[in-house]
Amino acid sequence: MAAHTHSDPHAQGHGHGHDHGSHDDAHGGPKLYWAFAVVLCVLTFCEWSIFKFRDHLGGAAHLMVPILLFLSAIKFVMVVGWYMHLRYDPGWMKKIFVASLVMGGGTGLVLVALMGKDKIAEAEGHPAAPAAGEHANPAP
Amino acid sequence: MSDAAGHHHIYTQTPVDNRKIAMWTLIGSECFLFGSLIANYMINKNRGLSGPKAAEVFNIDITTLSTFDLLMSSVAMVFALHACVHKKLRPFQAWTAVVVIGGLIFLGFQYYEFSTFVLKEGLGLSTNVFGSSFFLLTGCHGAHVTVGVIWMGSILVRSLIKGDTWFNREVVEVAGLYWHFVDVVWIIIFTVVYLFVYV
Repeated sequence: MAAHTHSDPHAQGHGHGHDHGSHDDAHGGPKLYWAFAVVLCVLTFCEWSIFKFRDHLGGAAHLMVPILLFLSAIKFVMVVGWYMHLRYDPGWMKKIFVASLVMGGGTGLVLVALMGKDKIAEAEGHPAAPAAGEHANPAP
Repeated sequence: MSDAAGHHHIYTQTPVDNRKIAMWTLIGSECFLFGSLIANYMINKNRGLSGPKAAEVFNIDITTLSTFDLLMSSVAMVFALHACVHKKLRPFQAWTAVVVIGGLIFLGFQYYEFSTFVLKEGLGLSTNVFGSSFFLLTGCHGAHVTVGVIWMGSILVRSLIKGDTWFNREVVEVAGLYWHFVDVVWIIIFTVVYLFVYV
């Protein structure tokens, strides 16, 4: 059974309830979806290639992390903005997601900043952070 | 409330379906969950007294394939919604089936990865803190994929049973939001967990 949304005509915002199929085409039809699918595949292939050939990047090796983050961010925005239609939703709905994303991501970054291996080594009085593969809290 | 045609009317104070708002709110809370789990992994990925570490066990080629698979299932989800909006039953059912199959293939990749880690590499949930944080993060994501597969599978079954009388755009749209979010989380996990293995 189909469900129809009846909005309060006095409600704030300019969003739409997506009641009609014609709205969907205004959000980009199959051509746009296929184009995005190709771009998503190409970006993922680029990520894989950068990882695979990281030893041949030479002086640009230090750019690997920001480039991979940038490619990942593009994919993220494409899926959230277009496939999830957030781009076409009311502003207050965007705020719900963006605020949660900023707070959730910020919480993660704060945790890493507070509890990263360097910070724990400092707190335990070690002169330097343990190398990868070593334990930060050796047994007495 | 329903009318003679059997259509439910949902009244809302906002211009948007309440279920859609609820899904976006759930997605917002999931940002906190996965933000914390990813941070936990980043903190612990090189720690542990025993057992293998990330660089010794990850197979990026396999993980890239599973990433392609999940991205394509997201594309199929878009086309399933498009077919639902335009009331094209067979394309809707076909694309929904592709979503379900894509999710199952992803879970198959994850099963292969987990079983390889446990049986061949000797990395279990309690081997070291890297293993604990890795399995917690990817296992939690896999659980979300499983829920999505069951949800989309139930939509497919209902449409198969009811045929042309079942076209519920809002239900498919809300399920699609969930499925796309699961895909978005994997986009981040693929980069931060797998591609940053040497960082």
